[in-house]
Amino acid sequence: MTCREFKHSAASLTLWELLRAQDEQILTHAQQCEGCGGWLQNQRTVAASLHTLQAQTAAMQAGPRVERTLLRAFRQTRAESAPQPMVTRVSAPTAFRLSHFFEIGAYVAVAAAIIVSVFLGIRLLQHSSRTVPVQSGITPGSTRPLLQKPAVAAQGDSSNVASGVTNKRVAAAAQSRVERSDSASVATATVQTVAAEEPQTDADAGYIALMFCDPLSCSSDSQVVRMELPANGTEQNSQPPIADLVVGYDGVVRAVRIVN
Amino acid sequence: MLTDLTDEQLLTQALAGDEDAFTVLYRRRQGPIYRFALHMSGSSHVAEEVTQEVFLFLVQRGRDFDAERGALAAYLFGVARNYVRRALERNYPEQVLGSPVEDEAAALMVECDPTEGIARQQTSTAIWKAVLSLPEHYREVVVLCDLQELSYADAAQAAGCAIGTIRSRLHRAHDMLSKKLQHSAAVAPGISKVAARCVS
Repeated sequence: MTCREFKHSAASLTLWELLRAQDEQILTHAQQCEGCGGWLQNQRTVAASLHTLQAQTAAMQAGPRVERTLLRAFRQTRAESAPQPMVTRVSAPTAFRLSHFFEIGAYVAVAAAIIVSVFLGIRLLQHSSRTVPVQSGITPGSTRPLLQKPAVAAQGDSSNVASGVTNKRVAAAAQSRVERSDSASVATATVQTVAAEEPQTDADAGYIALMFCDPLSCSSDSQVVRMELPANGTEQNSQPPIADLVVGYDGVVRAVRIVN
Repeated sequence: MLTDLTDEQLLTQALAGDEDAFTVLYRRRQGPIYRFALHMSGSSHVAEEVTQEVFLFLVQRGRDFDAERGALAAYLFGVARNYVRRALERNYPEQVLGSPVEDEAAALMVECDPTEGIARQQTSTAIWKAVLSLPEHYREVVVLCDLQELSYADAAQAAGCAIGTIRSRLHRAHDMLSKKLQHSAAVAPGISKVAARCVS
C-alpha cells in the first residue's frame, strides 16, 4: 500500500471507524510509514477526545421550563387555529345580515346628515341676509330719506302697533345700537312695550316698513321705541320730529312712523 | 403507542392537534438539538433558547417540512443551525470560550478515580475549546458528524451543502483539531495520555 492509497482508504472512513480500524493493510502501512503512522495517531487522538466530550455531554438536555413553554405555545396555537372554521361556518349568515342592516343604517344616517346640513345652511343664509343690510340701514345716511318721507302719523298710543310678546332686554339692545350708530342725532328715546291683543298691520297704524323687512321677520316679536329726531335747521321754531320705531327681537328696526 | 411512531408520523399527528404526539416528538429530539446548540455556542443559555425556538418553529411552520427531501432530524438540525448563527451574531463576545465551557464540563464530572476524572475534564475542556475555536463551517460539520453522529447525507441536508463539501470540511477540521490538541498537549501533557488510554 502506498501513502496515497493509505490516505484514500483512511479518508473514506469516519472518525469512529478510524478509531476502531482493524484493516491490516492500513495498520501495516501505518507501522511502516512514519508520516502516515503519525497522521493516524493524531486522528485517533482527535477521535478519542471527541468521544470523551460526546460521552460527557450525552446526558445534557433542555430544562423543563422549555418544555412547559412549548406546550403552552402548542395549546395556544391549537386554540387559535381550531375555532376558526366554526366561526366562519356558523356565524357567517348572521354576520352578513348584521352587515346588511348596518349598511342600510349607514345610508339612512348619511341622508339625514345631508338633510340637516342643508336645512342649517339655508337658515344660516337667511340669517346672514337679514342682518347685514340692516346694520347699514341704521346709519344716518340711509335713514334720512326714510325719515323725510311723508307719512301719515297715527296719533295715539303705540298699542296699535302690531307686536308680540315684549322683551325689555331686546329693546335695550336695540336702543344701545341705535344710540351707538348715531348718538348725536338722537336726543331722547323712550321705550314703550306693548302687547297687542288684536294685532293690526303696519299700514293700518301708519308705519312704513323698512328695507329688508320680510314678512317672516316682521311678524315676529317687536317693540316700539319713541325717539326724537334732530330738528331741521331751516325751521327754527318748529318742534323736533318724533318718530316711533318698531324694533325686532334682534335689535333691527322693522318699521318707522313720524308721530308729529 | 406513540413512541413506536416515526418522527414524521408524530409530526403529522402533532400538527393535527395531538399534544401527546408533540410531547413525544419533543422529548425524542430535544436532546440532540440542545447538544448541537451547546457544542456550537458553548453556552447552555443559548442552547436552551435555540431548542425552544426550533420547536416553536416546528409548531408554527411544521407544515413546510417535506419528508421527501430528508429526515425530520436533519431538518431540525438545519433550523437549529440557523438559530445558532443568529444567536452567535447577536451575542458572540459572551460566547468566546470563557468559563461556561469549563463549568458545563465540570458539572458533568462523575468519576470514581479522581485522577482520571481530572484528566478527562482537561481533555474534554481542551477539545471543546478546540472545537469552539474552529471557523463556523468547520465547527458545524464536526458537531454534526462527529458529536451528533449524523450521516454525511443528513449533515449535508442540515448544513445546506453537498456531501463532498461535508467530507472535505470534515477532513480539514480534523487536521485543525489535531494541531490544536498537539498544542494543548504541549501545554498540558495529561490530555495526550488520556487520549492514548481511550484509544487503547
